[in-house]
Amino acid sequence: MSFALSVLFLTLCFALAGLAAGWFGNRLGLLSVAHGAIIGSGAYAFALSSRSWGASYAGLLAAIIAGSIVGWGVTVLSERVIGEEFALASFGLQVIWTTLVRNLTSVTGGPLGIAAVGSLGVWGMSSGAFSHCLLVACVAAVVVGMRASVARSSFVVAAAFVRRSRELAVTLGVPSLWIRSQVGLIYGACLGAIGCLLASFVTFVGPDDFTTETSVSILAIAFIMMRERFTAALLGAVVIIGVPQILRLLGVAAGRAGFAELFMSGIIVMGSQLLQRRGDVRP
Amino acid sequence: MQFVHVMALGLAQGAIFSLAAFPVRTQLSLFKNFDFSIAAAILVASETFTVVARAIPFDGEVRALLGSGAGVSAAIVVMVCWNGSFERLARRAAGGREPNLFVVSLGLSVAVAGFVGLVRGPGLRQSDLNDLGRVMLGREVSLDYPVAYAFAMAAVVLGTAFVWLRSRSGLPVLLLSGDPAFAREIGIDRRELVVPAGIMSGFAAGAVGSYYALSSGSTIELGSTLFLYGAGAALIFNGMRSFVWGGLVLGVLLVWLQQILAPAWATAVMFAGVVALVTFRGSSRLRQGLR
Repeated sequence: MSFALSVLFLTLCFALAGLAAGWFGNRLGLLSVAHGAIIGSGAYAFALSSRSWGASYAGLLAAIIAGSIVGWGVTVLSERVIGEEFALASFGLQVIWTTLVRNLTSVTGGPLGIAAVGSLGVWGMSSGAFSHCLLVACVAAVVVGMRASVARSSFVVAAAFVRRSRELAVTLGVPSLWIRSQVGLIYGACLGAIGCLLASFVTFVGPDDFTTETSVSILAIAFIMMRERFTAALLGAVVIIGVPQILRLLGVAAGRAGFAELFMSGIIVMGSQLLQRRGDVRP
Repeated sequence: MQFVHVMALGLAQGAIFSLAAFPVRTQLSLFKNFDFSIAAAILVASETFTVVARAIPFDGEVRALLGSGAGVSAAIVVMVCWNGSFERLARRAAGGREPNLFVVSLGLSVAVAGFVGLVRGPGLRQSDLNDLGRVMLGREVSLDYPVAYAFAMAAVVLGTAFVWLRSRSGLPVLLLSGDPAFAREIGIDRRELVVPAGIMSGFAAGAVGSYYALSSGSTIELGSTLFLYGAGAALIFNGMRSFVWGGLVLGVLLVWLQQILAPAWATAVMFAGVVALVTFRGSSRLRQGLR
């Protein structure tokens, strides 16, 4: 039961991350490979705050702020670079983030990470897989609700102009940098919150948990998801999280089974482009 | 003497970055986009080198040579198959929406990395050839074996690349790089270039993978890391042939940074430099024809 709930929790987290990544991609037409760095920033912010002041919802707030700052930093790059150059730059940022976290030993614990991170409880329940599933469901409800309210606002129209061309947006009086900043802050906040929940559930954060591979897995879920449907994101997360778990149950060593996630993600990213039809919405 | 040693290391590293930059430039000229499959070719080459060098029971130098041959051949096969497949896909999608080379090749490279990890497991794999001693270049001058190997590989591959760029199949690639509209006007057909470009890109990517397998060992991240260095080196200066200078600048800078910072910090600074380079070159206006 606990194992199934753990897998469910991970699946929900990745589905939510895929939803945020897909939303980011659809709003600005950008492909980021730095999702792992943003989730990791949230996770580390929560781990550091819980080490200093114990696990609390202030830690969740710290994670959201850290995620927003890094998300904003990644997104504003698109004022200068778009398309594949942006993807390349975000990939570089992901590598820099991992290297920094590995080397800032006094703050992040280096390659060994931070152990014994506090765990968030919910409504008086003891912290565990079930309470974390409830927490991630609450975050998902907030995100889906926010997305629905934003979808009807003029913000989406303004973002569509920015997506098409920075110069077009500026000519029409749409503040390109401000729109990009808003998208970056919202996307970063969502990923930061997911990072916090992951750190709170696993009670450990390390640089190897938030690498380029994590980013590509999230990207694959975003690619599976057509027109930002949460159910499709959930399906993608089930495939990507489920396959390694099945392999582990079949007796494949955990170190190797983890690569199944990478393999599946690669196939999905590749397949999503090859099977696309004209008019499909793609990040 | 210390300065000479550091310069030799820096130039060797730069030569390898130049080799990584050459396929990035070639594929960029051909497809007008970054091709991540180079990362897959580098990884396949380094893993093939390691497997072959471990399996055959000969002397160190013979194993290094055979391993390099196998690594380079594997990388050539990957790049030629990839170029042919992508070209066919692009043709088939001519009426619809052409697949994005960067995204498809990123998927390919990640899938290959995942498959390699699934087969051989995580961590560093070495060929035990990284301690072959020194190569004497006269009575008093000698080089570490990996440094000599890097120079020899770079000389062979870059020499071949520059001869190729002056040949009947290489010149159109130069033209596509410099003036794509004119190249199309005079009827240069990309279909005829994908195989020679794939062979040359695979040759260079295979040399890079083999060098790393020999000098430090093979990891799953090796391909993508070197692709990023190659892209940085290819973008420093404009022009198809300037990748050599870009690679040398990055290599010397990396080794110099390693002298004053811890190696891991030097890597972070280098990547920050590559990101800054990509960012400050800018693409928004360039793509929309306003610059």
